[in-house]
Amino acid sequence: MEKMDEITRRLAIQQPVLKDAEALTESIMANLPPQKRPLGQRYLRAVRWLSSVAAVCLLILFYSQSRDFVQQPNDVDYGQSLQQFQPDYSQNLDKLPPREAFRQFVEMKRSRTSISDIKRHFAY
Amino acid sequence: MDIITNDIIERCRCGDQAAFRKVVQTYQQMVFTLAFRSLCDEEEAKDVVQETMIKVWVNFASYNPRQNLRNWIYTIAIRLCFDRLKSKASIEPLPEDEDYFSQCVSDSDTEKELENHELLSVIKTLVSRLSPKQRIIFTLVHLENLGTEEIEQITGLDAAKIKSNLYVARKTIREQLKLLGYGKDG
Repeated sequence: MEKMDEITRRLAIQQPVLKDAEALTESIMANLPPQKRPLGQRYLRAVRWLSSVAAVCLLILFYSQSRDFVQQPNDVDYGQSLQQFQPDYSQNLDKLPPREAFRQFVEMKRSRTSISDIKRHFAY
Repeated sequence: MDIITNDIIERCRCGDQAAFRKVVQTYQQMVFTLAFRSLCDEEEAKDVVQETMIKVWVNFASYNPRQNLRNWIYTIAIRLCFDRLKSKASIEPLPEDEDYFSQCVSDSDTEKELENHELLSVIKTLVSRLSPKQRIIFTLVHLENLGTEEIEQITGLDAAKIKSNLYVARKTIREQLKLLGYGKDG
């Protein structure tokens, strides 16, 4: 047998003696921190927390929207309101200098109102 | 070594400290032996036992009961030992260590019980020139007598890497023995 194997075999048989094993156990038991929760439970907690936050946000949004809705004036001048939905084609953009034409084009686009705005106006 | 039943494991997972005491009592000697052989330091080995057991406790809820508990504890202990070995300067054997080594090697009574400090001297002299990884692999294969499959699970290294590390470790130890005057035939 090779010398190295002879020595390692002997070392493998002999275990070091753990003195004061009881004291070590007590020391370990006295220093135990709180256990970590498993990953699944932690995810579940995070999901619950996020859904609570989302629910609160939705409630706040709903409340603020309904307040706006109540504050709409009742005496809307429909004739005037309708004017803003009419696109102004009176300007011939081709004849304007490019910079001015672009500005007017953007202005025109901005003044266009979405269908939902029209619906909201006519709801009163 | 006491057998840790599934009931004890389940109780530990639920945070039962009395059940965990049983786990500590069962495995602390095993972790101490491993750390003692890897780190060649008795006090440091005790620290590793403490750290390992605390890690086991903290992470018990995420322990998969299908995995072998002994191997799981081995994995945690090995990682701690490896981290300590990496951060530590290499251990140079002292002349007295080499004296103990010579006494141990020339002693015909191979069954004679060695004291902790004698064991340390012999291991230190033998593995002082190994890298942390080689030392861990050598300890697991030759001193802990674990199989390649178990070592793969514990260390996360594949069989080829284990073999190559072991080959270099054995070669280095042979050279060390030659330097100390112990050739192949002693």
